[in-house]
Amino acid sequence: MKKYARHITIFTAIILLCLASLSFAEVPSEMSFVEKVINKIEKLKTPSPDGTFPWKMVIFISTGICGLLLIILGILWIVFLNEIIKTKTRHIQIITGKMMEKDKLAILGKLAGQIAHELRTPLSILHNSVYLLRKEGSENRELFEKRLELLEGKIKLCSNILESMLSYSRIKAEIAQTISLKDCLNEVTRDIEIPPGIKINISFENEDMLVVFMDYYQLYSVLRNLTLNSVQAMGDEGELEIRAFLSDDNKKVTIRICDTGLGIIEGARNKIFNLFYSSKITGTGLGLPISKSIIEANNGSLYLSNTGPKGSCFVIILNAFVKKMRDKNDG
Amino acid sequence: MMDEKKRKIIIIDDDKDMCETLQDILLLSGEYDVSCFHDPIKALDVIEYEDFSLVIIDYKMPEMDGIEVIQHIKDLQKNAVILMLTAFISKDLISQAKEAGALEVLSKVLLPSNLLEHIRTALK
Repeated sequence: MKKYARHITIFTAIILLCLASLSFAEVPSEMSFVEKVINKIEKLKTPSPDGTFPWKMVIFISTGICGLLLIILGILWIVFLNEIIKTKTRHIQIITGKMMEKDKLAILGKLAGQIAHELRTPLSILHNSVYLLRKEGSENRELFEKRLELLEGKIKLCSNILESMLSYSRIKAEIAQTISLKDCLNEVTRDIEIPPGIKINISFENEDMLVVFMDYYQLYSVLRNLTLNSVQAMGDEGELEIRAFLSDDNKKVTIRICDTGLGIIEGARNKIFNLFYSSKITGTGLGLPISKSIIEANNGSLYLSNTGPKGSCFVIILNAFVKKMRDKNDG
Repeated sequence: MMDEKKRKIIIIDDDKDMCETLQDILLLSGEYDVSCFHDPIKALDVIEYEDFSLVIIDYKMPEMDGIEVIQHIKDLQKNAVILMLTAFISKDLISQAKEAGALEVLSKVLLPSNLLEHIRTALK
């Protein structure tokens, strides 16, 4: 009821004003509104020929005054309510802003906790190794070298974790541009150290149309990450197959990266995209989740297509840039 | 040949390098006989039938977390002395671990010399 009070007030005011205006029925229509009102009042002032009380005048004046008052009240109400709504909206915006800030801090806190957790284990191993090196000295050369290798490995792991976190922070700081998949993939395979026993087979279908619109660094880091994973999964020998092609409707670009490695164990398949999950000793557990976030931030998808003892295939699907432009031009 | 005076310590940590460096530090002290387990289930099999003085458990492990392992150990050996290692100490974790039966919760980034002190105190 409270919700409709404004509407009821305005409606009542209109009804009352209509009733009052009905009294003008007998007044000549060529008169202006003010003249009509004066004429009506003059008529009503004239005493009734039968000497009865002038009810008509009372009803006319009271309905008119009530109608006008209600209209004024309605207008004031609308103005007043608008002010209240504005104040409440501002209040809600402030609360929402504070909540979003709180959420951001909670996410940041959780992430910081996870990073600290992931860094503390290798840092602890570094502490332990330095302690052991001090105590044992370098007399046992084999043991000494083993400790140094461990130190190097853990320093590299800490560095990888930080690098990956930096990549994650760059996801939103993107500078989108048109990228030829062929150029990007060729750069990736050039930059990665691939053992001579691994045969690389890269194929492009409609290579001139294999163009996407996104940040170059992001696409490069995703392709590099997936290619590197495939190479590492094969060890010294195998076959790396990278195939890029357009969908039948020319709207999507698909990139398949397949290896002939050992595949991903069954228990790990649904965890590989989880933050900090890694099946590799020196893995950070950040590469795949970050790659997936990058591709999804660009309205694409990244998934494990198949895996088994004969190898794994990862698939990236992105919107094709060329087709989009054509559609616009056609339109 | 195992020294009879040496106390037996069991370390349970899924991180192979962490487990081995801790084992080497404890062995280097010359005071302990140390076994290292990456799989808590295998460790529980040993704990059920063998005598030991202390268990050091990592909190974050993929198959079973440290709190669960402590509960299982306490079910098997009520008087077991347990220290839990974690990379991220919180008040909640300390209270959960102590409620489960851990004597102390220690940070993983503790210096080895401090860790040895904590172990000596726990075994007094």
